[in-house]
Amino acid sequence: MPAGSQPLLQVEDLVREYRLPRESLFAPPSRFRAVNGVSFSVEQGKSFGIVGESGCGKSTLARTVMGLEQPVSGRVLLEGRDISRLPARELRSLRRKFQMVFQDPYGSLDPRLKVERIVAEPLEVLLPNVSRSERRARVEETLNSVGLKPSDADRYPHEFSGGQRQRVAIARALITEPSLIVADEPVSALDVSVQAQVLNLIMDLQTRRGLTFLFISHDLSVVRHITDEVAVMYEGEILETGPTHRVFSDPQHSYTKSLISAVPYPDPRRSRRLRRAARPAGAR
Amino acid sequence: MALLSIENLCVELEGPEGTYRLLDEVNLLLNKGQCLGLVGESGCGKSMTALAIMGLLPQGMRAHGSILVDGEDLLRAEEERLCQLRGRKMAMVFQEPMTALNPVVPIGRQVGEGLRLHLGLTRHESETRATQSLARVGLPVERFPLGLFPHQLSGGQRQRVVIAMALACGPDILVADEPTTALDVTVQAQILDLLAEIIDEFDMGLVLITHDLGVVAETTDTMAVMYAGRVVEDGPTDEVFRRMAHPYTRGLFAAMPSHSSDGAATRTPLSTIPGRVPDALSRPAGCPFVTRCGFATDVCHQSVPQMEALGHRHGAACFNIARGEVDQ
Ligand SMILES: Nc1ncnc2c1ncn2[C@@H]1O[C@H](COP(=O)(O)OP(=O)(O)O)[C@@H](O)[C@H]1O
Ligand SMILES: Nc1ncnc2c1ncn2[C@@H]1O[C@H](COP(=O)(O)OP(=O)(O)O)[C@@H](O)[C@H]1O
Ligand SMILES: [Mg+2]
Ligand SMILES: [Mg+2]
Repeated sequence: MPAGSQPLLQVEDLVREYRLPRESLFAPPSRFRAVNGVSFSVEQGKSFGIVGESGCGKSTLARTVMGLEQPVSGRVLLEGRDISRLPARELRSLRRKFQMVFQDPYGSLDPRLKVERIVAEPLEVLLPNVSRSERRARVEETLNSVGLKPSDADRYPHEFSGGQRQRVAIARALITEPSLIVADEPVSALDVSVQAQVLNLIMDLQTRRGLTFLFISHDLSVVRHITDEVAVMYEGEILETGPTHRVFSDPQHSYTKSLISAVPYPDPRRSRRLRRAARPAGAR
Repeated sequence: MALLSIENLCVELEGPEGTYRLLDEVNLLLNKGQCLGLVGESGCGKSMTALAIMGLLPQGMRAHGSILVDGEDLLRAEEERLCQLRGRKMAMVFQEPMTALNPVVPIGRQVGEGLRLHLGLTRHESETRATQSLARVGLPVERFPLGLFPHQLSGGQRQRVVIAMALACGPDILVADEPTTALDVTVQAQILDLLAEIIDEFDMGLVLITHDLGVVAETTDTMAVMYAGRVVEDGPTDEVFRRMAHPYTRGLFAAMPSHSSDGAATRTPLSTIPGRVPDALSRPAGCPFVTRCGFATDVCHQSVPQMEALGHRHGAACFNIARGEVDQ
């Protein structure tokens, strides 16, 4: 297949199981399918959203796509190459092309390290031969690209607000100049005003650098705002997928409909929750 | 007479670097059968207000002003009296149900405890009442026996148990601090429906704390927007949404991702509120919002704006209400 027409990320019939605690001495422990036959593909430069309620398998899917957990079956292809079947050396060089950002801007940064070390860490693993001055220059440039100051490299995580810490986490993901970023609930711990800043940064990175995002969130409004395509997950499976505007304006699956209609709408005139005062006489 | 009336409430804490004023001249009003929403970013004083209403301010904090519940001032009540009132007059639901639940005590005993403590019911009577309470919040005993432990329930079910505990002694005021923030959106809708039904049915007052303007719009009758320990805009919910007189209210609203039904607004830049909420020691002179406000003028740097009446019970604390105001 010629390069360019091939999706950047292809996930094919992916299955990931967890072993449950053994209940009997005589039977093998049962297994739980957290991801059950998931397939989708993401074009270069696009933002693909995964939505669903807690426990439906979003984080498991993210970790399996990242190669952090092994699938029982199925494939994850990055630029057409199956990451689970690559020799270690090739996987390491491919690693720089996909990075992950997690939800918790507090837990995911080592509090004992300065931001310079935190942001440079993926470089040290992937490109151990980078010189100290070059490393510093790349850290500063990357901090700059996420709206932080070069001097922030010398500070510790606790000196930053939640939104700034999430920028540090994004800088760390960007430093190897990846083509794909898997972001698992990257704004869920942030206030709406700060969330808007981080979402703008993500949209900006996508536009300016042509970055591809796999964007995972339980927040339908966020996914609706920033993704091009979306998949709705339920109990380890994708129930519905398509262009984001289509899935939201014309949902096909009844589960998608119920999810969308549960999102609170910020207009009191459209309130669903009819209170006694407003309720017709006779209604309970 | 209002069920709950908070007047000029200030809460202060003596720190090594000076006095932190965590709440600054807060005024709030709640009537029977109504829901008052408190919104604002984290650190604006919402939880502190909730704790003050419950008489549960942390040790070392000084409060002045008044918190009148049915005319009785909680700030002047002895701890013994507060213990009598807690649970029976005012009860609280927290964000994380597991903080309110004891993981090793069955749910029936947890719901019944307040009943034995406050109403002096026998074990049998309290079990009967606990069964009724749990059934009222959607946990019928046939499927949810009293002997279940919290870990055997989902997050939404645990929050129902906490609500049953809060309701058990028939309080007049329920204070719910981000009761659905940790829950999925469909479960959130169920819990908010439940709270709305309950305040109608028992003619209670609900103080609902949330950072989600969608939740406020759908659930509350009146609302107060808090910023840096102060109320900066309040009034009937539909009025506040219609006018959004304070730049902070507008900023919060504009920062929300698209919620249009046609899906046309996707991938446009969101408006943001630059910077962050100043903590109690680094608040600017003048208006607390001045450092983040796009409409600030000289006067905003010099004096603190007071609440100004804008309409029936609607008010905002801003020197530039007319400027930049979008009448929707
Ligand atoms: N390490 C694990 N061992 C066993 N079960 C797990 C493990 N991680 C996740 N699960 C289970 O897999 C399911 C999916 O979890 P997760 O991927 O975290 O969902 P989400 O991110 O959508 O909330 C859940 O039922 C969860 O309890
Ligand atoms: N126990 C405490 N001691 C000192 N300051 C506190 C304490 N709890 C909260 N604060 C401060 O009080 C302010 C208001 O906090 P809070 O009421 O929890 O805000 P919200 O609930 O709106 O997020 C914040 O600046 C917070 O840092
Ligand atoms: Mg998850
Ligand atoms: Mg709080």
